[in-house]
Amino acid sequence: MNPRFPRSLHRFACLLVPLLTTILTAAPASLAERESVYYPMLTLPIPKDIVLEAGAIQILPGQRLAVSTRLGDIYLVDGAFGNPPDHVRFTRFASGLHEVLGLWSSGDGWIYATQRGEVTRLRDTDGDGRADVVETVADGWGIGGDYHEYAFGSKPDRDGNIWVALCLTGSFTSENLFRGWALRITPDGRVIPTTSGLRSPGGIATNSVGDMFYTDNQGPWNGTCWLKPLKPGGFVGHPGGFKWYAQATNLGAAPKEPVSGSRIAVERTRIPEFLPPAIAFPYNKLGQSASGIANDFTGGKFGPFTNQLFVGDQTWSLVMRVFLEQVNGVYQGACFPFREGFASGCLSLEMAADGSLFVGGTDRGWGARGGQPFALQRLLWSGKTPFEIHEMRVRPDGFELTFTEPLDPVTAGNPASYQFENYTYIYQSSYGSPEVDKATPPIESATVGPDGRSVRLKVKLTPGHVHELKLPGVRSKSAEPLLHPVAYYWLNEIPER
Amino acid sequence: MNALPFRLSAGVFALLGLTTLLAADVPVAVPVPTGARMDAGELLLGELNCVACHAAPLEISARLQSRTAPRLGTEGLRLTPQWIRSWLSNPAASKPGTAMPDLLHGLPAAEQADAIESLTQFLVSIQPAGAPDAVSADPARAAIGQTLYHSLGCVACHAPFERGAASAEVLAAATARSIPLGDLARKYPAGELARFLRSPALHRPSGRMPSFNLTATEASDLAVYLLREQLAGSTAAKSAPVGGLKWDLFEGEFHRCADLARKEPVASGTTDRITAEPARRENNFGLRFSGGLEIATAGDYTFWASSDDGSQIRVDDRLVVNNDGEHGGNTVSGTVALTPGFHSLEILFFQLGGGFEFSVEWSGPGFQRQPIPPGVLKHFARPLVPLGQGEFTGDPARAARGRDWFAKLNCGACHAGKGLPEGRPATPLPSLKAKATRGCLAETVSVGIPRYTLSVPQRDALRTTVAHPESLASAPSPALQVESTLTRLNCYACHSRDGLGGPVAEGRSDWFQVVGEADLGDEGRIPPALTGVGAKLKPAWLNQVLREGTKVRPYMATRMPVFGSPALESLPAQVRAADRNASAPADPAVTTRDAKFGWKLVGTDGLSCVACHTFAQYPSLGIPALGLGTLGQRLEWDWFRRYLPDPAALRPGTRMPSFWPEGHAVNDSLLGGNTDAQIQAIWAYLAAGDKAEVPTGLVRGRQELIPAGEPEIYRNFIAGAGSRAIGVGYPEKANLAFDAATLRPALVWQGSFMDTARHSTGRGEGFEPPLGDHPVSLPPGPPFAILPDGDASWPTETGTAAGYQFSGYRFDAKRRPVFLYRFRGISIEDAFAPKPGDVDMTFVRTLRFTGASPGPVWFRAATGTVTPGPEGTWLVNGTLRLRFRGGAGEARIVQGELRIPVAVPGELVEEITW
Repeated sequence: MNPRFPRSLHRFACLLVPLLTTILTAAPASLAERESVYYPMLTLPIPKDIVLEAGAIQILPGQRLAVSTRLGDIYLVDGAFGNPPDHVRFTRFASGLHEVLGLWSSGDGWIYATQRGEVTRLRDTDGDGRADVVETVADGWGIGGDYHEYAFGSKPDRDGNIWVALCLTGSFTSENLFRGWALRITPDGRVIPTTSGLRSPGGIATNSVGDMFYTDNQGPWNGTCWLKPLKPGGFVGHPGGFKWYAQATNLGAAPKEPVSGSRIAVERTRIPEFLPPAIAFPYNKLGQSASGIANDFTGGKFGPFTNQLFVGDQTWSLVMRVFLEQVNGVYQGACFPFREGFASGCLSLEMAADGSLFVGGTDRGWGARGGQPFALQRLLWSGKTPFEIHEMRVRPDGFELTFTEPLDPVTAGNPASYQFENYTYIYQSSYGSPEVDKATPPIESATVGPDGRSVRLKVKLTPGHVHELKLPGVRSKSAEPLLHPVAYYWLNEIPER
Repeated sequence: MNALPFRLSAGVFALLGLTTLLAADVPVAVPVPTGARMDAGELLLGELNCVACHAAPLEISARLQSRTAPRLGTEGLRLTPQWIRSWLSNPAASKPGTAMPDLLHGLPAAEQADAIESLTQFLVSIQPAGAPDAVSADPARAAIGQTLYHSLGCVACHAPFERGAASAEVLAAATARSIPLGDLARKYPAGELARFLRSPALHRPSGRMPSFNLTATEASDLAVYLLREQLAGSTAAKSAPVGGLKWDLFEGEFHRCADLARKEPVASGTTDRITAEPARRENNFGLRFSGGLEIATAGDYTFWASSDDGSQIRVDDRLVVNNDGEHGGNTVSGTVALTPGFHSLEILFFQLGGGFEFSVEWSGPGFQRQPIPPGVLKHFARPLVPLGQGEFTGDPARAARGRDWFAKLNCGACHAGKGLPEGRPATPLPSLKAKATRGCLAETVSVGIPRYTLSVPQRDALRTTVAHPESLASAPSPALQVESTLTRLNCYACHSRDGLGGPVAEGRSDWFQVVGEADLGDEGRIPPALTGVGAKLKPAWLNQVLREGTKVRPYMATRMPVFGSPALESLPAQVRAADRNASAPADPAVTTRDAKFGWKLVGTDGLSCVACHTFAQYPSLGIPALGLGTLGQRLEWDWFRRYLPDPAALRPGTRMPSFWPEGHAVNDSLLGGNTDAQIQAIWAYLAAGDKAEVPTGLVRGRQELIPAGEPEIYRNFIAGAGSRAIGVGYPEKANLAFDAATLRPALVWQGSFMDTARHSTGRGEGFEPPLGDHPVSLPPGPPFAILPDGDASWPTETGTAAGYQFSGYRFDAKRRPVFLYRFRGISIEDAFAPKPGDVDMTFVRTLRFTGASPGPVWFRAATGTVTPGPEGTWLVNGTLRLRFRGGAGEARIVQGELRIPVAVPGELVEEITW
């Protein structure tokens, strides 16, 4: 809930606006204010002497959080679940670590932290609330002193491995061992080189079925920001780290070099190891720097989006929503705006079992809309269901959309209620890309399903393109427009049936 | 002509087509952006300067903005006779793509030969008096010039000679679409080319070739590179005074200028400016500048050397200024009487560490204290000599006949110059209507008529426009006027506008570079688009940019050059007419209260614009995005107010995010979250430019990490301890940095622990040195080795490659970390306890070994100068005192290293005192 605009007042204003427009210039509610009706935001107060540039968050038993920071502290946070959060208490568990961007608790007293140079586990052995043992679990990668060389750590996968996503040295090259790779760290500390082609990760996590994903950012070989799948032996786009295949003895030779200036759809047919991205976050349309990932495993406590992913954007200080599906064994899907108006640049996202989404922020070094240097916020579901696209699935001849609310069959069944275009990005060694190969095929038909909550759109599909769908004319049964009338579907594969 | 297939397929010239040319003929090179709307005939009328002979009414000649021929005579250049001869005999063969017509075609051979020789004599006779400046045949200069050529912007128009990031195909295409350079090595004495590069518009007044505001050194470096074919032949040339001083760089710790003589230089080169720039480092170097001064006027000359640390100036081997020794910044002067002529000059300077200053000035008869100008600095070296150089004897009679030829061939119609025969008019342009397929545009050009190398489409385009002069009568729209100017000056090589041109579309973006590591994407290297520029930039700023060039984007390697073209005088008005929205609101009336809010919004307490944008001399907290201080001077209010809410709409692809998405302010605490009020406040604040109050958050203060009561840990990039350093500050004011990559204490120091500001502001770039005093480095390399023979050479491999594995640390009861690591089956615990003395500090280091070793283990405690001291101590490098307890036997010195045998399991106590 936006504290500056209590809901009661908001309603009051809405009722009065038609009457008062001639005397007052009441601005229409901002998107953040409209979103806050469904997903109110609580800002946790941070003591003045703490710089909480939250690099990673871990939920601990007993309604406790562990929060690690870019400055190398790990805090234990009590009272984070209070509403209002007026009894929040921070205890410093560890300090002096090197930019901790991954955090996990094994439940047996160890807290696992991914630092720039190693995965570490820490433990309080004397019960004073501070770590006394700081153990190196694995450090089998290089670090040379370039600030780009970040390391993002996941929670363990289904086999108990922590995945570490390693940023390149700068944008273009890999000067130190396994920069630009994802590695798996086994419970006993072995390092398994797993996926090459990473550029500048912003977060790493599993989806609802336990497959690993990370976000990568616009730059060389990345025309926009992406959510990309990580699989052993795969290559996800940036060839800067190819030289380390010589050290990755579990894998074969390096893949073929991609051709700069080509397209992803072309290169993935040339390069067998190429794992195409699952989601495109179109640059400057939905964010500019994709970051942390959280899966809604709460079975409805966070609203209607069970098993969908939520992805932060640092520059735009917002959280996006992602629906994934697998077609012919390849991940793809749609992203949607979800909630904006966070206080700082969103970096770390963590879902709690009670349906809280904790979001940590920082704008240090990279400006962010939020404007605060750092923040820790908690997003809740108000219990009201926003009118949104729920899922967007590809069909052989178009898309099937389901919605969170029953549809007005007249507007939803009218192709003129939709706008559609598709485009892609140049896959190239230089920085970013404009949108290219644009097309605007017509929506040939829009058919509302018998359940009254779904629509089949018949439209030409183009593999390797963003399919941007706007729905300005679609209304719910109760005549509401969509809270976010836009979807961006990245298409790798077209299903046969 | 190897490149010919590419020339024939060249896209940029595609509009003017090349299909039916003879293989040897490359048509006039006129770059046109793909998709251009302007009339090709009109473009060619201007680029071939047809109106020089075929007079046109003012309104037509004004819109043609004709490209005029180079000036000759005293305003010309001293070009070599051998080149003038070959040029006159066949311009298109000498420089394929040239706009110079062949005027001697079809003449009887004897007559042609007479014309060429007489004209050459005449043109040489009217060249400026004096010899061109000599430039040294220095391959180092060529190397610098090569970098300049490929980064400044030269290759936006001319052919790149190195591929950089481009593919071979892209390079070939760019080469084919380039403005030809011709046979420079035969044409130019190097000093003359450098002179041209510094002020091209003096010699070519229509400004197609712009000035890049080159320094004298840059111009000479570029000239040496462009004339690199002269390097080989110049090894035989006799030494002569050439421009600039020779510099030699020395590396090492120097305490007096005389120390430089004991070292060999690590690099050498030539420069026209006496600065420390050649050092390219901050500390521990020395520079020697040597050569001489070319003195024109006799009198007393005074020299000043300001330096930190020492410097000396010698003239004619006499020490005139002695500012020697280690010291802070100070100035010493000395005076010497000099006669006209050459006097040797030597300047020495060294920098040890700490503060830095170095400048040299002089004064003399009739001039005040100032830096020594480039023109008088010389040194003896082999000069560059143009290719084909031979004896040339002036023949006044022949030159007079050349003058007659000049008049007869009507050269003066195109080539202006003081005292040259003027041109004669031909049929005026509007009257050529019926003759559009004759004369210069005939299928076969008659003897005596200038023959241009035109492709068929070029000739057809000209014929059409000449046949319909009425098409030139109606004034073009402002948009078309702008397109015409941008096409004629090839602005499209660097800038796109309304979908035309730009480095990406022109296939040359690979050569546009960013300076250093600025993480700015394409915005950091590709010059800005000019779409809507007339609504964006203030006319006064645009005028200034066009007149003086600019460098508001210091991260961009290319420079906005100065064209010096009269055509640009009307450009600001034209873009304004084309782009400006008539209903644009007037600048808002702003108050100091607005500016105060703007100051808040820009700083870290507001929207944190300074996270990316620099301000005045302060770097931003992140990327070095465009300085905010220039904004009020450059931008129009109407553009600014539309840009901020949706930057990508006006600058597609920009990384600048909106802080007012959909018009809603994300910061609702300032000015009530009112979007318009916030934008206006920022505008009001930035109007004061660099003089405005510095935004909060930009000035980085010291952030000292103080161990209070118990030790503090600082794992980060620490100078001297590597990228996996673990700093430990103890409340006893003893500090160490343990290197977790090589498993050794790398540094110890006293006093303050660390300043964390570097790593806790901005992106945290770089290595931070210890904050305190008395830093001492401990031995590098592997600390332990398994050596059957304790006298064997110490291994060099470190870290995991040598069998080490870091295991972390645990805290003891005093919260002191005990480092844990393994080495080939041995587990090691490494604990440090500080023990303050009266002035010295001691770490009592306890190494505990468990497990089993595969052989005898040795610990290398010190390297360098190790001598036994009193009471069983060892003195190391005059900075450290070591003492040992435990171990498996006697310490020994092997190859200058102090080695201690280690018992496994067992314990070794090392007292480190410094």
